[in-house]
Amino acid sequence: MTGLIEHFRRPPWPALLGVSAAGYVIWLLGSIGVLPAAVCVTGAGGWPGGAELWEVVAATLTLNAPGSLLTGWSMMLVAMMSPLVAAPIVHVQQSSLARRRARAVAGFLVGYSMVWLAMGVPLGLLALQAQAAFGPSAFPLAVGVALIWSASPVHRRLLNRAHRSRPISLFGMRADGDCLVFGIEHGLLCAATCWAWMLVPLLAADWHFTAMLATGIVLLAERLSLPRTAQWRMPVAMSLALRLRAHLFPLVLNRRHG
Amino acid sequence: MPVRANCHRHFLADTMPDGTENPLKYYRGIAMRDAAMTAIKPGSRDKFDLDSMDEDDFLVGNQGGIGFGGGISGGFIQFGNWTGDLEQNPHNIVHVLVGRGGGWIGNPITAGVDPLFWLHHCNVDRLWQAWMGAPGKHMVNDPRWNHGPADRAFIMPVVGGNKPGISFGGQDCLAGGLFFPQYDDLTKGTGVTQGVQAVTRVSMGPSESQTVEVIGANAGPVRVSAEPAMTEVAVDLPGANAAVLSMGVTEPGEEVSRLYLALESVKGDLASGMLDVYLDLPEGAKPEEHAEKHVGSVALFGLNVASKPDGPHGGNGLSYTIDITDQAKQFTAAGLGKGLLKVTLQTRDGHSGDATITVGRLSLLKRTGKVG
Repeated sequence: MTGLIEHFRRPPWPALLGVSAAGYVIWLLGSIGVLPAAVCVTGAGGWPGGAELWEVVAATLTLNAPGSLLTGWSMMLVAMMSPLVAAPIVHVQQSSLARRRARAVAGFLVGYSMVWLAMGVPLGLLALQAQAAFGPSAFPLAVGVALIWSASPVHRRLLNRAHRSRPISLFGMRADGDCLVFGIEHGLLCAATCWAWMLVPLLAADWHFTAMLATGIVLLAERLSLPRTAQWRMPVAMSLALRLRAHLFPLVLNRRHG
Repeated sequence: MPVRANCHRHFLADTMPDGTENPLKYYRGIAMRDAAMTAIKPGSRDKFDLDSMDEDDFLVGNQGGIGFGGGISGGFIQFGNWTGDLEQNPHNIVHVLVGRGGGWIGNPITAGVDPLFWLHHCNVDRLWQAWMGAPGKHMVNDPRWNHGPADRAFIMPVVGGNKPGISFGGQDCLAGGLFFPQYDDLTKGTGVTQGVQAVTRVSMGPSESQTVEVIGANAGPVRVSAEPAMTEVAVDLPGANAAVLSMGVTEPGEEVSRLYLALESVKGDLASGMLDVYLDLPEGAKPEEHAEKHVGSVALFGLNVASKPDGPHGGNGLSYTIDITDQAKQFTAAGLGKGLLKVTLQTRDGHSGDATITVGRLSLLKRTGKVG
């Protein structure tokens, strides 16, 4: 545990965890109406049988202003993705001239965010489609798909690629371009790796916030797991749950007997 | 280098004390006395040295690009593939040169089953202990090192090959650890004297107060094969001039700098090899004929493992720094003032053959501190 704290104590972790926490808080305030942000992408109780996808999309856009959907999606990304970019941010900072570091990080984040903002459309449509097709079963189905995806060799291979750095030029437009391209490249790998888990909070209806928080932790644990041979493995989420259980059980037992 | 003279008698004896055959006498089927003489043929640029012991800081900067200890491995520092001073020389160079003849020690995948590996690593542990005991050295008290390495487990095979062997971590080899030996002498052959501060370089103050920043880089990846490869490192003049001005400073409290050439994300299929680095080589000149332009070599031990896309380094390869502060005059003349440094890379004959090595980026790093 001390090792874990030691890691999170060092830059850029405190700042990124702070931004992530702010994202969760703003999302929560939006969801209870304190802030004017509608954040639910899908209908909570499913859609009428036989509804076409375009009808569901039209209904969603009628019920939720596009601006609100964008705000909600953005806050989800800020909350869940901020801790995932620690390593590339350190790489971009350390690869750049001291006076250009902030600009370099901004360039990376622009590229990274562009990919994830765009991913909101296919993921949203997929979530709506799943909701329309499976109704209340869509959420457990999404969890199952995410677990199978996480266990697959393809997922591991993509996750390994997401650990890859890229040389960054030092001067001028090339430096800006490299940071932007690295951001896009990393964003694409991140999206390709995380898409299945991102569907889980989108389909969690009333449990959206809890699912978002749990998924955020799973994605961080996946990202922090070391690159390894691509083969079928126990999903990181499951090993995380088992470790948590091993840590929490003694606490619960001690409390009972203490 | 009088290798044979330094080869321990236990490796040369025909028999064990009880009269049975000495298993240490043979190394991959060759008598040790012959193996030692034929495999290790140090060339003019092969240098086992203890320069790393001059470094005062275990870790400088967030990722360990500079320092005695090297980069922190593990999931939290995913791009931390930097090689520390002790790891580079003598650790890596011994692996590379001793393993050059095909010995198991030359490949990280097989090194652990080579008896020489344990002798070598016990010596590395001893050097680490000697360094920590010398005054002026700043060791970190950090669970990331004590409980490390995070990216793999160390397992010592047991006699008879019974699985799973003995697992151990960094702290097991430190004072109070399971495998910490009682050293009877930490001065002989370590480059430092316990309790006596040898001022070989000016102290740069507390490690955590020092900064490392890049002040120059080349345009893109460089491929080095049988032929030497030249590249130009474009230098940020304000940063470089400030570094040059503060390089020789000795006044306490004043800013002091050191300069390093960094070879970032070096990749290739070789288990081990050597890469020589030259500065300001004349056009068309043969590098091996210009020893005065040679600023350092890097021992590429474990390049194959570090370059695997699905390996523990995520395919990022290895990164190295070469302290070029002492060659300041040379590289000032070589064009630092004009904002351009000409760097030539050459793989070592007999090490790398026709294999290609790629260097992701060559950069110039400035380390800054305050004279302590």
